[in-house]
Amino acid sequence: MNIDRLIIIQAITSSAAMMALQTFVMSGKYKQAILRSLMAAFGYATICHYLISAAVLAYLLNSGPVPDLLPLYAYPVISFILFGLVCFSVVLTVFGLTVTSLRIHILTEIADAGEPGIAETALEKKYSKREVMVVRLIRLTESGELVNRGRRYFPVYHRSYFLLHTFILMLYNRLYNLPGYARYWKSVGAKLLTGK
Amino acid sequence: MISVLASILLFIATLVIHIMVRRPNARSIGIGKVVADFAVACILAAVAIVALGEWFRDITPPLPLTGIAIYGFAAFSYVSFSASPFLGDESPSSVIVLLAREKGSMTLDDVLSEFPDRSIVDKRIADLISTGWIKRTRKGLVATGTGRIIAAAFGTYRRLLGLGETG
Repeated sequence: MNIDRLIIIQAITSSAAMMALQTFVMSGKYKQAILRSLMAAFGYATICHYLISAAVLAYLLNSGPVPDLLPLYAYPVISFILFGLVCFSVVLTVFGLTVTSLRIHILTEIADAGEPGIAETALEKKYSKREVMVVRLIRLTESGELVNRGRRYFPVYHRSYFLLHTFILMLYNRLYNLPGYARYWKSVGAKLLTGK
Repeated sequence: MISVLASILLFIATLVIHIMVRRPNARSIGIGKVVADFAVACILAAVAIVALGEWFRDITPPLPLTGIAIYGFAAFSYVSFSASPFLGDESPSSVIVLLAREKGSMTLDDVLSEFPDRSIVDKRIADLISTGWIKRTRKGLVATGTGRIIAAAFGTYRRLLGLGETG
C-alpha cells in the first residue's frame, strides 16, 4: 500500500464529504451565518476524517508488514493538513464565489438573459448600491455581527470568524502596501482580534 | 516526512520572499503577476521537495506527492485569497462592520455614503469584460461561451445551496 497516494485520496474524500455537509448545513438554519456554517461543516467533516483515518490505520496494521512505519503513524496528521488545505482552496474559490461574489451574480444574470443580452442600466437598477447594501446588512444582522434597533445598526463586540477574516484581509493589504481598508487600520485594526 | 516538512517551510519562505519583492510595486502589478509568481514557485518547490525526499530516503520515507500537494494547495489558496485585494476590491460586508465599529452605530444612509454611486456594478462589469466572460454588443451585455459555462456551474451549486439571487 502506497501511503503517499492514500493520504491524497483520503484528503480529497474528506473534502468531498465536507462540501456535501456544507450543502446540507447551508440549506438549514445557518443560511445567513455563512462562516459559522462553514466551520460547522468543517467540524463534522473532521470527525469523519479521523474515523476514516482510524479505519485505514486498522486495515493497514492488520494487512501485513508495514514498510513505512513513521508515515503510517503520522498519517492522520499529514492527511488532516492536506484535507484542511483542500477545503480552504475549495471554500475560497467555489463556495466563496458562489455565495458572495457580485461578479458571479452579474455573470449569471447576463448568461440567463441569453442572446439578446441585458442592458447595463437594468443591471445597475437590480444591483443598485442600496439593494446590495440592504442584503448585506440583513446578512450581517442575522449572522450576529450587527444589531438593528430602529433605523440604526450597532456593532456586536465579540470574537467571530468573520472579524478574523476581515482582520486577515486588512493585514494582507497592509503587508503588500495595498490601499484596501487603509482608512480603518488605525481606528479599528487590531481591536478586531480582541473583540472590543 | 521530510517532503511534508520541506513543503511547509518552502511555502513560508515563498510568502516572505513574495511580500518583500512585490511590496514596493504591489499597487501596479495585478493578480496575473501573482498567479505567475506562484506558478513558478510551485515548479521550483516540486523539484526541491522530490530532491529532498530522495536525499533523506535512508532516514525517513519520502512522501513526494503529499509534499507537492500540500505546497500546491497552499499556493492555490493564497492566490485565490489574493485575487480580491489585488483587483482593488474591498468586501462590502467587511467595510460595513468596520464602519459600524468606527462610528459606534450607523444607518443605511451612512453605509450608502461610504460607497461611490456607480462603482459597485461598473467595476465588476469591466472586470468580466476584461476576463472575456462577457462582451458588450449594441443591444447590451452578452455572456461568451466560457462565461455561460462558468455561470451554469455556479448557478447549479447556488441552487443546491438553496440561496437567493442578490450577492
